[in-house]
Amino acid sequence: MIVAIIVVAVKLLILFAVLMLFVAYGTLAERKVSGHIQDRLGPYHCGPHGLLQPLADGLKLFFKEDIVAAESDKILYYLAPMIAIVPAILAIGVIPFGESITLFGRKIDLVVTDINVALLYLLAVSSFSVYAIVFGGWSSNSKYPLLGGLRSAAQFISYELILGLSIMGVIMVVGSFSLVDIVHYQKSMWMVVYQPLAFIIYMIAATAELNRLPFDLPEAESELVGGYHTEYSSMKFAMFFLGEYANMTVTSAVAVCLFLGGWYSPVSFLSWIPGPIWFVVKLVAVFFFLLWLRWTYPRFRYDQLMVFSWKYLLPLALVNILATGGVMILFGGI
Amino acid sequence: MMINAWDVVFFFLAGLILLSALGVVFIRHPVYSALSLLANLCVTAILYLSLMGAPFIAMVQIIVYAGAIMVFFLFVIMLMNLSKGEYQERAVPWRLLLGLGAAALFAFQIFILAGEWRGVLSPGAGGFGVKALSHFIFTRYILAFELVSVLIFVAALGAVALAKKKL
Repeated sequence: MIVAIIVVAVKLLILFAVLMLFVAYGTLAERKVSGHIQDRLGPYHCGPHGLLQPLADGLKLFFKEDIVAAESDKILYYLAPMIAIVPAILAIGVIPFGESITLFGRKIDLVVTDINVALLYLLAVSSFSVYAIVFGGWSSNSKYPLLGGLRSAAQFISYELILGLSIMGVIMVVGSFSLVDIVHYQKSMWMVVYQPLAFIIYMIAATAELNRLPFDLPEAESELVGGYHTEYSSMKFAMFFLGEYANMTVTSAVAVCLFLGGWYSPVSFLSWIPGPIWFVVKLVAVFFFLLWLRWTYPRFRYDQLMVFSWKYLLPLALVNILATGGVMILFGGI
Repeated sequence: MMINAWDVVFFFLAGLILLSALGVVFIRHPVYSALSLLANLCVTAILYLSLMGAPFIAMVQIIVYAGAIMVFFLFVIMLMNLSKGEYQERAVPWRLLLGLGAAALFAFQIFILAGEWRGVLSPGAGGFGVKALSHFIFTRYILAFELVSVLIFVAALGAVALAKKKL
């Protein structure tokens, strides 16, 4: 029993460390990728090719003065940055990153816990991240953050619906909510082949849920200064960014599990490479895609954002569910 | 006398649910009142999860109520943006209450885990999972289920009729 608890604790620690590593180097990757897309070099002077930049950024944020807006609502003002990081950390518990391994005669599954409602759990947990933005925006007692918070609330509800519906097709094909089952199903063929439309809708909705361009209305800097985090400084500001990049990592990981075959290698002659490495490679690819998207498309207008969600994506997601169901009835399962 | 450990769990959760429900009524500040309702919904979900062994209902409770409906509530409250004079605030030791709440939750988790490890608690009441639930919905309760969908449709139509003065 004690050993089992230690195993879980070690797995959690490793996952947390890897997540934080992704967050730290996600910020660097963002700046490097944006730099190269705009024909610049990006951060270059801190370590070789700027590799130590996240360390410098972290130190700077730690030692900055922590300014609290005078008329802010103190409890929620302090609570919001904490909520920002929690959903991503809760979510990593159900993401499988490899086949089980045998270590010292013990079989160890490379997932913290394989629950039978894992996908619903992910949706439930991620639905809390909107509170960070809404509370942060409201408690600052300032007009730009409030506008950012309100935009975020409306955007989040619209796109969460679509995110849930896009996943439905995958659940129907596999017949299970468990992420481990879903990955096992993709051993021979990736889900994106069966559900291409669902994959596109998922990626669009996920980008909107992450508040990234072209959907970053809650923090549109040209209209709202900085959006919901305008009044935040120092580590509180950093917590919002930790949360944002942690959410990006988790969303990419879920996309890999649902559509891109999880830890399985895409071609059989490369299957000697261990599963977790494949998982990380695919994760980095999806992460890069999100960064790439940011520097490729201009921002939506607010009404366009809502129209796009309710008039185009929602019917498309429903059509995908209908088509999946129809094919399953006609051909007796895919 | 042997105390059934699940009873303790139930009374603890029920106490939290009652406390947060009272909070909804008695806290004057609209945002904190809404926050109390959010806590209430979440603890109810924990109750479903731990005592009924119904993870599907627990998760859907969080997704629908905490994830969507409460966000709408907060949206409206924030749009009104009441200033301090428009409601009366009571002096409440928030920090103390928050600390006590967090400590109680942690103790409760340890209690459940320790109980399961020592075999005092049976691990979760028998599964009332997704399959069982959908089986009941689409066989025995099919009429009620369809009627509820009609009800929701009527409510949606009513909302549209109210919002649009000229149809």
